[in-house]
Amino acid sequence: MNRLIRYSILIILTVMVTACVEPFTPVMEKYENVLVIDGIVTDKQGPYTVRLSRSFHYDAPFGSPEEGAYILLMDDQGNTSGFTEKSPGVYKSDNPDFRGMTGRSYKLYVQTLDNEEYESEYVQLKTVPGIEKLYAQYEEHPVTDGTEKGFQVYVDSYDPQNITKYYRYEYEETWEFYVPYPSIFLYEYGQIVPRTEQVERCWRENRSTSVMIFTTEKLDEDVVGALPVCFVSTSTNRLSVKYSILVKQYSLSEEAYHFWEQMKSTNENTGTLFDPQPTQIVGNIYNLHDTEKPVLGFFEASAVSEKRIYLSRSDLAPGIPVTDIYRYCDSYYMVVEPSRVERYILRDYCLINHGATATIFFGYGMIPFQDCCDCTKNGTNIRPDFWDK
Amino acid sequence: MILIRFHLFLTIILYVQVSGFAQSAKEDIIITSVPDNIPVTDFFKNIEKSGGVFFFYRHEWIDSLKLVYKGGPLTLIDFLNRSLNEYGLSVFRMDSLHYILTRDYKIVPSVRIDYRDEQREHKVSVAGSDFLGRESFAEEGSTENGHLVIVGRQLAPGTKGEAEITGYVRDRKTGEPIIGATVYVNELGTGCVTDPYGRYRLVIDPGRYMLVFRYVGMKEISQPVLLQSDGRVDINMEEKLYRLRELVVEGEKSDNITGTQMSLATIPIRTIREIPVVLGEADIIKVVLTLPGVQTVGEGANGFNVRGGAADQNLIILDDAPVYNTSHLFGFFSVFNTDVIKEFELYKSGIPPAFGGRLSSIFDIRTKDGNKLKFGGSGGISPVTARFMFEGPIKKGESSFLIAGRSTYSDWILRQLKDPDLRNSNASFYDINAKFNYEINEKNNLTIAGYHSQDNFTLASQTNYAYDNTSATVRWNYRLTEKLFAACTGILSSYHYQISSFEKNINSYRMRFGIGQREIKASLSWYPDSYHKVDAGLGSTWYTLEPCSYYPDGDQSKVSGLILDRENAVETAAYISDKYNITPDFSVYGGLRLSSFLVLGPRTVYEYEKNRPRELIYLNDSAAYAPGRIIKAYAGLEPRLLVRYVLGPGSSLKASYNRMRQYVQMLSNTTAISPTDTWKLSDTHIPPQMADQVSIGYYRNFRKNTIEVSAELYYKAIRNMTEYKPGAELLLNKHIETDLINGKGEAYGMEFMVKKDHGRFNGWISYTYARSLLKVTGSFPGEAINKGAFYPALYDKPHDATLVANYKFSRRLSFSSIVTYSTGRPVTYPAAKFYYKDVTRLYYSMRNEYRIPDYFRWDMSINVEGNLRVKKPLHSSWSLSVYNATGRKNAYSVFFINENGEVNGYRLSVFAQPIYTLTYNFRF
Repeated sequence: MNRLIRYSILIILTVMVTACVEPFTPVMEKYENVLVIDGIVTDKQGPYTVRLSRSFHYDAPFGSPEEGAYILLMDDQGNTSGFTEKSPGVYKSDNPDFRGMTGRSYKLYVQTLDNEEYESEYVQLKTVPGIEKLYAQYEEHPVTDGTEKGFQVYVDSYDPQNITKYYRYEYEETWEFYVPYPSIFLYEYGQIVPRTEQVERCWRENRSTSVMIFTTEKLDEDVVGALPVCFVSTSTNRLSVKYSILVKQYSLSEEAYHFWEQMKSTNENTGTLFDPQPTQIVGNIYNLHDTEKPVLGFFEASAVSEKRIYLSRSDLAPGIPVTDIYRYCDSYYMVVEPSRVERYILRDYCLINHGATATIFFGYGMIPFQDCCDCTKNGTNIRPDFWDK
Repeated sequence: MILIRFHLFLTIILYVQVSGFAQSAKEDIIITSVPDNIPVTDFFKNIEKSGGVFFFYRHEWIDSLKLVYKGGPLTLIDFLNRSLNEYGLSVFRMDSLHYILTRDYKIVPSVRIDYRDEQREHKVSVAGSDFLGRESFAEEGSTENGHLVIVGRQLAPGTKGEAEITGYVRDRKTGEPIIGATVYVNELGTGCVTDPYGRYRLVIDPGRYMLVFRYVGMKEISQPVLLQSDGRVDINMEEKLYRLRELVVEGEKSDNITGTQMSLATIPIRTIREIPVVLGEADIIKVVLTLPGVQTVGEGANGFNVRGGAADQNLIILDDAPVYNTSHLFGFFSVFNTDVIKEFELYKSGIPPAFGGRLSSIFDIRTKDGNKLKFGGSGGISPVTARFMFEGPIKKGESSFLIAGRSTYSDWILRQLKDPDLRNSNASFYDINAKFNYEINEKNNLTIAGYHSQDNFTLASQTNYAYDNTSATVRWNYRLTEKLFAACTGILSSYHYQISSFEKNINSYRMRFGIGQREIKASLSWYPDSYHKVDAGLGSTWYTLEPCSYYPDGDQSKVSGLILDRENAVETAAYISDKYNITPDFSVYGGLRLSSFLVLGPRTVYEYEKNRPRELIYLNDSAAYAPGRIIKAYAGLEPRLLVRYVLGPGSSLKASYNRMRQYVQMLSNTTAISPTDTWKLSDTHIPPQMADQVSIGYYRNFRKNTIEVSAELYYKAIRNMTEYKPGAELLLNKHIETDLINGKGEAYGMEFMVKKDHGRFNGWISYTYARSLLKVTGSFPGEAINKGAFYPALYDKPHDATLVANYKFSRRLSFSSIVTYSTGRPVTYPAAKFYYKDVTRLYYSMRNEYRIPDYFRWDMSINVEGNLRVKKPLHSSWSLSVYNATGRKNAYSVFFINENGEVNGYRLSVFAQPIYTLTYNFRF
């Protein structure tokens, strides 16, 4: 009888509710070819960049740039600037005296090679307060199989005049890292030669990709309080030595904010039971001859303020480890006889340094993965100019 | 010796009767007083001597009896009957000289026994009838026979005229009146239906009849009656507990043929308990989904779609009170406690004029009244929820109460989930039902019902959602005359939700929404003769809607708050209808409903430039209205027509037309009803929605009505449907009319169902082909959606097939299974990818051009009843069910996410594995 009860309880406990998300490739036959205009004028010194491209099919790897267009940037005072195409689809303003000023309004005009004309609405360049405080706090976030430890970076900002109200954030991360088996030799034309530059210590960069926007319209004051912008996790090597993040704060007009909201909701906030239906994103640039024709993009005029902070390994409490992403390298290190080095080089091994074992006295250390020996494979060994020693 | 003498005498008597032997007359003897406690034998001897009469009896019947009488003068026959009836003895006066005593049965003289040769042209006057004459299949000697009941008094021979037989049909266990039970007179081929009090009434020629009482889920009762004059026969029906092999063929089980209602789905509550469930909870909404014409957009989706209608186009009423949010935990559990539900009806077309306010369907749910005879209860425990119901009499036979509750302890399940957000969440809900019923007297009946459901869900310890439905109903039924019934109902109903941030900091907020209504209505039912049933009614509903508003929460909060104007309105409706049985085969149910909607102040109404799109930039002016001022008035007629033609035995054709108007709409641009969906009343800028539906259906029964087949076609045209402009802000939008746009809708389809209700193996199979399309052209450039062409609605699922099969192995073991398949619902895929600010992004343009993968699911359950001893304190049963036995990962949605600059497609399935549940139920 007791056993029966126990088994009954076991059966009762076999209820498992598991929602699951799986990769899925839809089959889409057609796609719409739409012009994409990506341009922004800021209060920082130019030149200002406008990128023109075309939308592409879901299965295609990339789209095509729109070349040979005529672009004009205007402000409400009559000043203008033309653009020169520096690389396919990338146009830079060529008037050195033209600079974005707060309080002024700007407009973009584009004429493409096929004689279509596009124009944006006037956008006012609003001021932006400086970032009052950029700081990091140690936190532990629960994830699928455990917790992730790291620093959560927050922004505090305050506009006493209550003008800005709409903000967009971008960040650039840079961090220093070392490789465990730095290579000092190269194999060139059948010879082992020393490298001319060090490949042990590098810096890696990463830019934000998700849309980070914020509004204070529902608050009494224009205060951005403890807005999380980035989580620096110990499961990467960002905190292995030293890390820095530059956060940029842009001012947005209300329309620009709504544009970014739509970009975010159609591209990021999906995957739940309550997704809003994705809809067409409405920008502020229109085809002059046919206003119904869709144009992707929002011409922005923003003031930018930025701030940088540094975090280092020692900021973490002693018991908190940083994942050693090169840990696997140890088991692949091997010492090779000089005569056999070439053979391994042909198999894409990396030549590290002199090495010796009990049996090989004058060998070379080698390893199959370039990541373990050459930090330039994942970064640059040129120190960024803002980096302190 | 005496026995032989007696029997011989009786035979002679009967012989004498049949041959019409005339009797000599002599004056009747009058008894004025009787010596106290005189033995009956002495009394007889005295009378025999002094009156010269003869008594015939058996000594042992009266040897010990004594007479005591204190009343006024009576004839001998009356005196004897009055004194001796209590001992089971009757006296028959053969003539002035001869009196015969009988025990246990009565001799009745002039009786017309056999009517089978009579022409079937009796004018039958019935109350509440929509039952028409047909050939009878009933066999003699059905299972439940009562003893012959003699109704009324014997009339003088030669008396002509009809007699009325009436009475109450009740549930034997609870004393509750059974409404809508059919009473069929075999010999006449006619019958009637019990009225809202459970009362039936037949006016027929006196004679001997077999009355057959039938009701869904109850054992059929055949009651032989001998109708002499007006009288009453009450019937108590018993629930059919187990569906065994039927020994008796049910002749008239054919409401689907002869009933005047079409597209009406009624399922006995017992079937609901047998259908496999997920997580142990029987859910009437899940059962209704197995019927043709009813669909859902996916698992866990709150709400359902009827005949291509949006989820807010269904009026779901519990004891007359509307329920706005019909599920707990975002669609996984029903808010309706199956233990308290007595019956429900889902009208898909041919909607009676008494109902209105929503375009697609009326889902009318009634709860039990509470057992008026004895205390009882039931309950159940499943891995996630527990429920309990208790009922009983307050004053036996007169008044009763019922109270039930349900709650969940699902937090432990959430802890097992992989998703970290869900692991740190907790969810709880509970609901309570209460009912009170008082049969004040034969004419007056009072019912009070209350309901409250509450949900609380905290997601990832960050956001808290809470919502509740509350309602209270008071109904008074009054029978004015034999043919006129009145009912008066007062209803209060409300729905609120609140979303708040868990942590208290400067951004802490609270969002709140509420809709409440107060309604009062009165109705009259009149049965002037057997051909007509006339209904009329009048009612008003006061709405108060608090649009979702934003408030600061906590001391640190710097949220300034955004409070939108409340919406107030009064909806009034009046209706009149007549169910006219023109001929036995042809009946027409026509009605007219007039509804009006007055939008009232206080409110600020925004005005926009004429001849311009309704956009914020064209905002012209705003007008402030004082409280009670009429801002806008809408009114319209809603004609309803239903025609039924019986083609032959077992088949009929029905057609209907109805127009519906809807003044309350839900604003939702998500796929499923989500916690933040709000409702909006029609106002200056948002006109009421309207739908016209025509449908036609053919119904055929086979194998002596054990197999019902139905096929229905319908077409619905909807006007003023609310659609959303791209990027519409539905919440906290003071100028929400700038984000809404009117569209047209079109829905059409075919529904086909084969149902077998009897025998060990029963169930139904249903197939629906249904399309639901929308069209938004807009009045200005840029407003058209999908370039103004018809596009599929979110709930457009062309093919839907369901099979429900139940098999009874034995009286204790039964197996049930559901197999369902449907086309995938429409989904919007990106029209292209584009590169913007170094990130690949998606561009969407046309809505709903593609479909998610098709849906298929197979559920099974095994039900084991406890032992079948009749008298035991607790009856229990176990049920093991598996939901999604094949483990198919049915896609709920397909979505695309930007990850590290790349776009990836994903498919979300809600129940990706088979889910086993074991539930324990009990009843006492």
